[in-house]
Amino acid sequence: MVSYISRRLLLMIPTLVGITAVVFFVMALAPGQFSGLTLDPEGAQEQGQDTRRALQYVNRRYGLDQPVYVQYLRWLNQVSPFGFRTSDRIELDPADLEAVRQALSEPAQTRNDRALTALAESVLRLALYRGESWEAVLERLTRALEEPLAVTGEGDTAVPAGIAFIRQTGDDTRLSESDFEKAMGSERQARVALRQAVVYEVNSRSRVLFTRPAIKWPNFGIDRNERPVLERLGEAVPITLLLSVITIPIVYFVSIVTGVYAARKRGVFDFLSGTVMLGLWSFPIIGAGVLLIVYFASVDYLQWFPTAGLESDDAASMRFLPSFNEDGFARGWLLDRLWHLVLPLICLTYTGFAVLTKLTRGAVLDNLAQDYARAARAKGVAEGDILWRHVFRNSLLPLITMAASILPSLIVGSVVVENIFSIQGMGKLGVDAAFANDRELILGVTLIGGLIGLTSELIRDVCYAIADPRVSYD
Amino acid sequence: MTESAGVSEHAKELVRGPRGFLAETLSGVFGRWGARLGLAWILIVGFFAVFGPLVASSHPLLMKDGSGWSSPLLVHLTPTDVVLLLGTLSYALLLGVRSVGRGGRVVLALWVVALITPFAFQALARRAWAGGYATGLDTALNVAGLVVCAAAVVGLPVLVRLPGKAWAVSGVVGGVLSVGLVVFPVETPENAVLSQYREALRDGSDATMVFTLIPYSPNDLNPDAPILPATLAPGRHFTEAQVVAELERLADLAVPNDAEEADALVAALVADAQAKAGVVRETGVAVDEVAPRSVDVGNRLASVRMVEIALTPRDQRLHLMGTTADGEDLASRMIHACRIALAIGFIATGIAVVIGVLIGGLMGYFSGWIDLIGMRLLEVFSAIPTIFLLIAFVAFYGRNLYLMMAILGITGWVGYALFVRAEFLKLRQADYVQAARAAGVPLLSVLMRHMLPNALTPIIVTASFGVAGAILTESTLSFLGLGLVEEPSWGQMLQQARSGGTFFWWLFIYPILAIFLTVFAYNLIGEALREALDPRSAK
Repeated sequence: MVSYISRRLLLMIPTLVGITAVVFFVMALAPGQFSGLTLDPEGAQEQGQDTRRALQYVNRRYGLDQPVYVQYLRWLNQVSPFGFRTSDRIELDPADLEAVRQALSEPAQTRNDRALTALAESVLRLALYRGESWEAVLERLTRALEEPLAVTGEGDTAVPAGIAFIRQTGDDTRLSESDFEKAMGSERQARVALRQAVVYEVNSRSRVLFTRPAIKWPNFGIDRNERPVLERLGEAVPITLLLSVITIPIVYFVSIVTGVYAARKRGVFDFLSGTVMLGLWSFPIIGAGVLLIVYFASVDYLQWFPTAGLESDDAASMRFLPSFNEDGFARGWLLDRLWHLVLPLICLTYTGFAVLTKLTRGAVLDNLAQDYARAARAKGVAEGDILWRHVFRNSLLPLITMAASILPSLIVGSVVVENIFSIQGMGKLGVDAAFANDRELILGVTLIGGLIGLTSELIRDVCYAIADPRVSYD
Repeated sequence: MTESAGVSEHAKELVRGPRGFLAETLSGVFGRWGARLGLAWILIVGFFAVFGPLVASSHPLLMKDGSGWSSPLLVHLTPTDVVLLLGTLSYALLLGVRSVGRGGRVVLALWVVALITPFAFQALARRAWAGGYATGLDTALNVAGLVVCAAAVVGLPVLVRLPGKAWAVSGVVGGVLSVGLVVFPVETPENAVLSQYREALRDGSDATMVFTLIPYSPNDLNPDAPILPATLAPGRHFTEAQVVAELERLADLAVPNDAEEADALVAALVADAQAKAGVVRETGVAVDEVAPRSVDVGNRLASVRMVEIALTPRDQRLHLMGTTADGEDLASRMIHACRIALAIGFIATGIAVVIGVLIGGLMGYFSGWIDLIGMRLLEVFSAIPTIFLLIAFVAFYGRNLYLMMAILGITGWVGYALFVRAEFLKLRQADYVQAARAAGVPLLSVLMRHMLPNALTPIIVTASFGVAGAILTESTLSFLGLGLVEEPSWGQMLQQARSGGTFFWWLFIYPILAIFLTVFAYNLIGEALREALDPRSAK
């Protein structure tokens, strides 16, 4: 079994590479190409020199000045846990620094470069908080640039570096907490802006230097809002998985009960349940979602359920369980979460009933007609025992097979549900990323989606072996 | 005449020989009431898909003015309309050919359609080229369409064995129609002013106009149109009290915590609406010409327009299902969307089936390392979260109906490939296949003529569910805002229903019902097919 699982895990790797390759090349070969123009709408609106530089900057930042296959291999190296370490060090030309210095000493109105303006503002604000001259701040920033930086480095190092940098001056007591946060914010902004300014200026070769092969933590890159993709996935994926994990048992429970009952009773119930389930399956999730949210949640009609999100604003301060206090009944975190989950779960579950009910009914019918069931009945085994002990156990196999295909279809459903109910899960993240042409984010979401699909297939095969003693993979 | 029906049926079967497996299955399927209901609905949708332009159009069917009788409706038919109508016509003509069965006649009609399509589109394509506004994508689609048509014209007679007389008759029909299309090319006028007939009637023109059943085109923007569906707002006039109540509700929503301001708002809105209504009553001009809207309290009050219109007597027009926010007739849009719904389902599934059969067939027949590579490819495509790929595709490549069909097809072939592969793996060892190969039958013939027909049945079942899935996916994409812009589609209406913060329920209920019924119909047919083909359900 162990060797089987590890073989399957190894086979996953080429499949995942294939998935990301398909998505990557679809995006790269699109006519409305992936370039700074599509990436940076603000930059596109500005004219002349600034636009060209913004474009150049974005192209270099995403490696878009390279051939497509190089871009893909680079991304693969970045994501893979085995690969080459990369370094982000930028050789600072004294001439570049001089350009920045000059820009800073000019009066603000004459600066027309966005990056330089941002840099100047941040540096000046920082200097104000510190009570230092801007020259000194810039000096420090320049030195800090030699460390690996946030933009595409090995993880987000800007914040800790910023804290250390400000502490370094040793005089936090002069700053209040909010001052400190603001200064940290502008510290980070200043670093990013300086980096942009420098990258604009530097006529660099490839930005990324490959150093040595190593085992490293996968890095999914940074999205358009300068946030690590891994962090965003870390927020979104658990939400979608939570929805799925609650949905699957509900779907199974309802379908098994209906299916077994339909197989036993036949007749009108069988016919009706079959038709109703098929009808539910045919009803679009968007329809159900919008009708539910409009009639059960919006201000115009019944306001029984919340319209958006997975928890109330004050959920963090709630007790876990419902309780009574001086204000009367407090619903607590658990009930609050359930209250928010009702409508999305209805939308996610109802389409799944049809297939599973049909499958259960068919399997139970098949097995009831088998010789062993007849033999048990002839022996005088109780009808309930025959059904649940013998027949149902044998009918489980097709149900297990379905589990693997339910999870991916749930992810498709969650795309719609999350968008209607404004839940910040993977589906919404993917759609938002596609709308924003955020390549790193789309690739991240696809990779994780594919990984979830493949893993569920593997789990299905393992469950198969556990449920059916005849199946063995060794 | 004297023999009983049973005997003649039997005699016919003796003459024709036993029916094939497919024909047997199909007759078994449509003996079930579920499949019959499904088929009935699909036929209704199909009827509107073909005859939609003749049912709902702002152009009068007949018009008599100073220059005599004319038919603006026929002049404004698009090449697609013409091809569909002529295709149906030629099918009707081919009903006279007795020597072929029902399926054969469909093939002949399709062949005629393939023949006339290039002639119907030639004027449009030439104009686009001359005007210089044909994009690369347009060119590619045109060339692809031409290739498909040419392949069908040449390929169908080779692939399908029908009596030579039947081909000759359809050749004559197709030839006459093509010559007709060359002599009278389909030159749809650009930028038709749809409101001209309405305005002419209102200005008391003495032209006689005969309109179709629903006298509105899907894109006929009519600012005067009442927005509520006629069926649910009888007479389209509210009482004064109802209007005031509605205004109060809207004002409450606009300024929730300020009763005084809300009251003032209601008073202003009522005065505004009444003033306009008065002017309209006296002078008979349209509401929007009286005065620009004086009070603007944001999106919520978009439906104030509804109230203004309700207060205003106007020309007696009937909008069965209401109108969109821009005053387009919903019933007309629903009817014209039928074509897109059917086309998306069939073409997307068709592409998927073709790709699936090709790849699955090659994998199954050759097995070995081709199978191994193919399996990885299948794995990759089945593990891709298709919906994200679709969104990325549409976001990058733009919104185009044909492109959307192609994308749905390209991402949906995995299931068919698996079925064909399994079936071919079994069949390649069958004696008759071995015999065919030993007899030196060419490979393509072995694959297409001998093996494929025996692997078709599971594909047909999957395809009927696939068509339903394609329609659902299109509506999902449209709902997410990635749908078609210019042509009406059911999914697009769903998105409009929630725009501007107000929920226009009639824009939602009718399309969602249409989508549901269509998907349900395909699923019912698929379910019946599956049961008819499942040997276990025979007992």
